Amino acid sequence: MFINLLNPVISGATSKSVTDEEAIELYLATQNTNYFNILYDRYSQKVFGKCLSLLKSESRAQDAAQEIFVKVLLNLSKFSGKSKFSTWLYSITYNFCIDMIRKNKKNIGVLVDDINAIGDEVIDEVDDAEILETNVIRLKKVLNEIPAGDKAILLMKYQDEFSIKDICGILDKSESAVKMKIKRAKAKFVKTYNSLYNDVA
Amino acid sequence: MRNSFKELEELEMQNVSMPSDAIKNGITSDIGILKFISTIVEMYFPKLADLFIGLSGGESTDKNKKPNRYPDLN
Repeated sequence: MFINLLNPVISGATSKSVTDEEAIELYLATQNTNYFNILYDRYSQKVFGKCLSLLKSESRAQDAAQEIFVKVLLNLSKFSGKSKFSTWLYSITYNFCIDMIRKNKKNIGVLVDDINAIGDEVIDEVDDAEILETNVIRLKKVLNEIPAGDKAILLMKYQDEFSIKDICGILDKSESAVKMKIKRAKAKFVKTYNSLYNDVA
Repeated sequence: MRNSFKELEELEMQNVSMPSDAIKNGITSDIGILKFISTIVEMYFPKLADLFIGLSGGESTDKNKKPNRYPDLN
């Protein structure tokens, strides 16, 4: 099996049996791009899907996915293995897309969470179940209506099930800031839902 | 508890048409360019550094430079 792994042409069966971490180790040891291709084949669709969901443009999502994978390839040696590879990859994806939106749009104000600015704002606590049991079609519509930063943080928490610690790392914020941002995003979600459907989520 | 976010992800993945070849080719091309640049830097940077050292009056560290045949005369 080991000989087979070092072969430049990696069979489908072999690529399935190699874990993400093994593929990274083998890539770093051999610089054989076929090992990177294993990771690419596993995650490219999800990364592209996330980019498309956040950037709302196929060509921009394609550019973003390409740059994300180049970034990942160049920084593979920095992957410490403390978290899962997928968590690391998606954190790069979210950061990249948020940066791209920041650069391309003028709605910085809604993306950059100024915690001080919301200090006086009274935000009602929204139950997770209320959001998690939303109709899928309506969920999609509401997520497309709320600011990209709020959408990203809700996707991190509920779709990718990142821990608060992971989100702190991705957004480079303190735990309390992240909790506040989640609370705020949930409140915005419910408010948008109610304004769209004049109903209770 | 139901998770409509997961359901949405599955739904979106079914509808995503993956332009994998375009992205893959882009990655290969980007990496190719970076490798080319790094090779150029690797090849010429030491020589450039030597040139600057030489110009500023220092001694070149070029290993390919022929040794002085009569070192004691210097």
